[in-house]
Amino acid sequence: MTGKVEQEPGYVLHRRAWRETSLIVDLFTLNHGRMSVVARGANRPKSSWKAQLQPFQPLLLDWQGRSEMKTLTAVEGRPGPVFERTERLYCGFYLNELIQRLLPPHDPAETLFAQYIESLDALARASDDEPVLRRFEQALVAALGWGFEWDRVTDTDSVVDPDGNYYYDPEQGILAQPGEGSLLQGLRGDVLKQLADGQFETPEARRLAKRVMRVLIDHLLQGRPLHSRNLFTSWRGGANDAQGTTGD
Amino acid sequence: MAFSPLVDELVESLRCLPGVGQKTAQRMAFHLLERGRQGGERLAGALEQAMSGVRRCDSCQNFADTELCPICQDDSRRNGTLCIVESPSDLLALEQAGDYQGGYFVLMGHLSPIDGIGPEEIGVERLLRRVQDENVTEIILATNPTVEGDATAHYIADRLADRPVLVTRLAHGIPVGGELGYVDGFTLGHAFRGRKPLAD
Repeated sequence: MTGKVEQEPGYVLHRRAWRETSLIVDLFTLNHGRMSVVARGANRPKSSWKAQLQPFQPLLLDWQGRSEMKTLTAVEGRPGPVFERTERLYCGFYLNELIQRLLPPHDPAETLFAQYIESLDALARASDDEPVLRRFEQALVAALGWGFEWDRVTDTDSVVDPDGNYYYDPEQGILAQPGEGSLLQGLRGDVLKQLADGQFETPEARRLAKRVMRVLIDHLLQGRPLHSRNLFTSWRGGANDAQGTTGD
Repeated sequence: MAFSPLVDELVESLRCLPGVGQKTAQRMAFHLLERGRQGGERLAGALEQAMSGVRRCDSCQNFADTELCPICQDDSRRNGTLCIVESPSDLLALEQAGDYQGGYFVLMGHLSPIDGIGPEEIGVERLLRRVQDENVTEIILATNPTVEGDATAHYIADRLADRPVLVTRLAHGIPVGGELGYVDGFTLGHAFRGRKPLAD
């Protein structure tokens, strides 16, 4: 038993130097979830792996090893999406940081993997990045077992009334009555309906989805910082507003 | 361990160097003690002086002995261009190439949210102040052709968008004397996108 895996689809989340000439690479793979491999010699000046082991490039990876830390034996890749705009690159960092911080290692998450590919593609092409981020966040919380339905009221076990106003608590979901820990209030029923139909495009839907997802993700992070979010905020605050960024 | 405390301490201290494990540290220590006492004393002196004397240049953040590094002290290099590099070794490589005669700014890293390195850690505000104070007319972004290097270059370029500064980026492409057949697809892709008209 050498624990040999071949041609596994995956993406690089993060790299760090290890010893003189090697890299430890954190990967997000189709069948093995988030995991780390040692890429021996990849930190040498002329290693061809250096160009391939970059975030956002679709890769096929071979590795082997019996211990927790596997050894990378082959990498095949093709150039991935090209992010023409700065904020799209930062959105990509945000996805990677979310996976790195929240997805437990060695836990296959095929649906999330598919959503990840779709999200990167959409970030490179689509005119609007916010719905892409919200859909990815939704897939992520579902993979972590924190999924919820936008139009399901948990305390009354009913469907959202378009004329109603609701509360949100990450531990309980959408609520009709303020619970003890209700962190958000005034969620409009008609907007929740839009989100349940997968419509993230209207300004109200955007704002509501962003508020709810932020509360839930912060809850899951348990106080750990999300640096890519800070980077985004600092970039948006510092660069001139004429860049046409996503609104709050 | 089997040796005297002084020898043990020397071996342990040498292990703080990158790539130096127990065995290598022992070999180094024994070499210095057996055959290289003079070299060892010189090393000890140099280390002590450097550790207390070397600081960051107030202007470009590179390592320096005084408030300003030699390049920043040289008035002829304050010609309105500023080259942004990630590390002192990148600066050295450009200096050795010899084509560039302007000033530098050394970030001492790159933006990497997963590692918690943001604009503050690499001194972007200091850079922006310098651009303003010295009437810089061109910024040459020479960050590495990695995703993090790109993110850093874009961040700086966007922060300079509203200022009258020309922002350029080093081209990435095929090495001189190389053959297309051996260049990886990623580099080729960059080279292709960055192609230039053969003007003159």
